[in-house]
Amino acid sequence: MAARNRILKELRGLEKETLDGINIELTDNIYVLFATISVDGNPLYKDQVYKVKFTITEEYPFTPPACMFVKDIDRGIVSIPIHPHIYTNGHICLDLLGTAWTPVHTIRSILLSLHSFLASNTRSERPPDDSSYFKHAPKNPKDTRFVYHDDTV
Amino acid sequence: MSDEEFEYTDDSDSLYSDSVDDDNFKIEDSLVKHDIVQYKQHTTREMMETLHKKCTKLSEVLGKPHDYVVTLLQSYKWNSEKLIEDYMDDPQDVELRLGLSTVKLNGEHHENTGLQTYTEEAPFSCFICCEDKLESYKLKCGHEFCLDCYRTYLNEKVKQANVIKCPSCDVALTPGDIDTISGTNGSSVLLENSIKEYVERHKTYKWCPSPDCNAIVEVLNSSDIAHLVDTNQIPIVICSNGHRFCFNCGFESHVPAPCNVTKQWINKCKDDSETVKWITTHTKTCPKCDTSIEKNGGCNHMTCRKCAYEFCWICLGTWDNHNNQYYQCNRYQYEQAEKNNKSAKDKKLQDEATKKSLQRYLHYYNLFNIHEISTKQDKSRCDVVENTVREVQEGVGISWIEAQFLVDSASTLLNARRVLKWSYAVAFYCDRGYSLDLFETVQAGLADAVEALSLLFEISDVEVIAKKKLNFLNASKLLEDRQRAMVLATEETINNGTLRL
Ligand SMILES: [Zn+2]
Ligand SMILES: [Zn+2]
Ligand SMILES: [Zn+2]
Ligand SMILES: [Zn+2]
Repeated sequence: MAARNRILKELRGLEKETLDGINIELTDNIYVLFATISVDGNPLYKDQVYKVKFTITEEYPFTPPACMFVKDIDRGIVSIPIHPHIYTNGHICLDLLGTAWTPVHTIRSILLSLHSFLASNTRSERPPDDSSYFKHAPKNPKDTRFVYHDDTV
Repeated sequence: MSDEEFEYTDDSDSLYSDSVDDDNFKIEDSLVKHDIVQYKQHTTREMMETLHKKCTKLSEVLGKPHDYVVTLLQSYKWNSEKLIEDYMDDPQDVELRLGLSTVKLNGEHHENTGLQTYTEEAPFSCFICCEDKLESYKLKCGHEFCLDCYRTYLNEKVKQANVIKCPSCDVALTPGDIDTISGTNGSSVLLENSIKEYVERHKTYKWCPSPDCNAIVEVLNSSDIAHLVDTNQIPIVICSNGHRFCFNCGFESHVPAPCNVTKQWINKCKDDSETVKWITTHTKTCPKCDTSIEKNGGCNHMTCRKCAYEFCWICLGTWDNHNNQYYQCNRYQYEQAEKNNKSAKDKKLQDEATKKSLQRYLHYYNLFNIHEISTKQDKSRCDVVENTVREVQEGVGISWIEAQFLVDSASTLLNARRVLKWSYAVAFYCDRGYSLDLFETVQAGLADAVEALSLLFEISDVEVIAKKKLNFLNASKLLEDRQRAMVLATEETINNGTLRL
């Protein structure tokens, strides 16, 4: 109940006040939503559109939504952004999505983090443990206990 | 009655004067030198008091309130040396970093903190749940959330943290805040988390590994442990609930197997677990009439309900053989394995060796596992032994003290079966030969005595139990003797170099 009210309010807010480079795409399920992100300011990601999937639980906002990059081949979104904190399978190593989450964070604050995550990145590489993680990764990124990599990048 | 049953009556008095544990000290003495491991038993409550005392002391040193020091120490994971060092260096920095500063970062100072109440006409609009509420809580940072949300937030955070901070900033909640919000002493959960952290950080402490036991053991001469383990002695300690465990391995008592044997055995079992899954099954079919039989007691003497065939659960051979040649199911049938391997003549030699070693392993694993399962069954029976004692008291009209033989026997059975179980791990790592033959003969004797006492516990009629008191006492006495012999035989095996790792 609490989750539903809160999500509705957040969605209304996102509709009223849009974010630069970010588009929200709703589904018929209030607990699943997508967003596309483009970061034109960074030559690494120029002319690219990326897609993020949010899966929200009843425990929201006390637990963070599961959030990962996905492909949408039909619409030409064929890649996962190359980033030292983003795995080939789309999972994201970001403390906000795990231990640093508190219920005052929002879908908006996650999107803003992801956007600046991409905008400020200068390294065209995958996480150091990408190949091993890829093989053993659980379906749900929240089932992974990330050791947060150096956040200075 | 046989002569044997009278043997025990003379010193039966000493049975009551010695506590169960004292008896078992003696039994495991040759491998477990109790005076070498000096330790203290702690309960979680006592640990909590210890931590509180630590706080009180530090609160005097720093001249700060108790609550404040609790949060400080929790943030520092109870490393008080580091805390004092940092605090003496720059108290403001420590306070700011931990969200304990009384000066708000932006200079604002919020007076009216704590529990807040509102009216229906002018309710509080909570950012987290987006609902209008009548009760809220405000910290000194000015951030305010409804009480329901705060409670859910605490429940979620308490699982992972020592210190809980404001959902919106770095200000830490004190134990007082937490207790007010939760309406109970919710902060004690945090303190329990702290105890976990404290015990895990300090090598001199260990949790009792027994499931559902929260007792803690503190070893006072921890520097001696490494030497004990190197010389094949087992640093056994006993928790305040009477569970014995190895302080080195943090695992149930594995007497007579030394720690290195135990570690290798456990790893081997883990690696080969798939191969032997079929063995762990609790049901077998009667070798005579194929009726499915479920084992529900600890004894290995099985009687088929349908055809009344009596057989041994371990080897499925007829029980008749087990009275005279009881060690038949104890000894790995080397010739048998040889025969089996001959049928695979065309295979490579290495294949044969692998197969042979797997068969050998399966043999010992099977025995080990059967006693593991039987231990669980014994345990559930021991859990109700107090009830049986009461029933025997009331049903037969004997005194409580006279009925205690059941409790003592149950404890003897559990300990002896554990020793038997671990002796199979020892046997697996022994070279074949005269020494192992001797070892396995002693082992077979122990197995026999274990089953004999286990069988007595199958009796449910209280009058029969009371009548069989002497049988219980004699069976226990025999079991203790044979357990002692097993420990000595293991020591001998280690000393003469039969044990190979
Ligand atoms: Zn609320
Ligand atoms: Zn705050
Ligand atoms: Zn215990
Ligand atoms: Zn050990």
